[in-house]
Amino acid sequence: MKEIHLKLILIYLNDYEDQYELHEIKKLCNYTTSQMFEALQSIEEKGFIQYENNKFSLKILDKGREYLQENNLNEISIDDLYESTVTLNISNNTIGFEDIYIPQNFKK
Amino acid sequence: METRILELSDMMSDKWGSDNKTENLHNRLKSFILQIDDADNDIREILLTLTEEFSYFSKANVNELLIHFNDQINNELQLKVDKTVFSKIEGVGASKSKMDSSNTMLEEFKICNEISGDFTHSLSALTKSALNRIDNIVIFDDIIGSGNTLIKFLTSHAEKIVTTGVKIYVFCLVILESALEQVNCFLERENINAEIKYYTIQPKAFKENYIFGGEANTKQQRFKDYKRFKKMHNILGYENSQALVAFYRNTPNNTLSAFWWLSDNWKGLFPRNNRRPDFMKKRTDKSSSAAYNLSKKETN
Repeated sequence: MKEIHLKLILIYLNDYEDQYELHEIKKLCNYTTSQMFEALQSIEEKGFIQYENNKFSLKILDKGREYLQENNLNEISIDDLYESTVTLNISNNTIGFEDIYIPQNFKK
Repeated sequence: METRILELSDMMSDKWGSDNKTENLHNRLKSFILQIDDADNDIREILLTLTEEFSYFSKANVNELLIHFNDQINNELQLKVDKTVFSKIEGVGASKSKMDSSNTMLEEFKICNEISGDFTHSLSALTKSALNRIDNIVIFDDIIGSGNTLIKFLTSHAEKIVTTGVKIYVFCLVILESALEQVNCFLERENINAEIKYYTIQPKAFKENYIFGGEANTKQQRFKDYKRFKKMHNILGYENSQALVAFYRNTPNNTLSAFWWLSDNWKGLFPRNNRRPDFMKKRTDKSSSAAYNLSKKETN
């Protein structure tokens, strides 16, 4: 399971708690049903969630919340993740036509 | 009063199970009831009696019921797998929240019962020739409150349902007694072959000889006229449905509004929650952006 999916599922369960929907988790990670169940099984084995596969019940555990905190993700909501991300940084130091433009992260 | 609240909260905890809407039930119920002034003890008693009859469906309950519905479909009704399509309420007359709840029930039903997406179709997308090859259409919903949405939905497809002879099954968690009567009258009048399957049926809360016995009318009048409830919209529930039900996702507006109203001077036991539909909308519009946005947030 990709780490990004682990984070997304934990953010989702931390935010929605007992109002989770399995089909939303599926959609969130672009999983098939069996991929989702495998992922949930694997997250349960890590001790981050309680997952009862006969009842399809899910609950984030303290270890899962600690993981989010360690990654500074504990205060992120699902709604935050659906806000448009602005990637353009506005600088106060404007450049003129004579300046040479070097893109951020430019590598020779 | 304190003892009655404690006894009732113990009883309700056993009945409703534990989740974040029912945790700390004793304190929540106490705050809910004690919002009413001491002088209006009879209103407290009415609310407590109504709470005793209230149904709450946690996510765990709903999952169990979706599995039970599938058992009914396979064992009791014995619907043929290759002749049955699963669908949802949509289109004419259906509010966004109604389409959302019907769709959610359908999607969760498929996951809990390992049903492939190949067996899911929207009724509006099915042509008469496709319907001729199908025996049954199964539709899901959480609550049928007045029956109006279902009737409008079936009316919009009545011609093809009747001419192809396909049978409609509507599975819901709760139906109100008055809605069932209205829907059944409609089905008979329009000659539509449909059957409503429900887990719970609720009479109106203040129906004569039900919860309050022969005093129902008096209690309803007192409840309706109580000064603290005057500002609440639909005190007896939308279109006088008088439902006593809440779900893990939300509380329907068919429920008596004292149970869900939220304002500066009143907090219902199961306040209505408007957050989820926003997420659903955003999810539909930008279904693949969450992973991207998460990675951006981590690098910033």
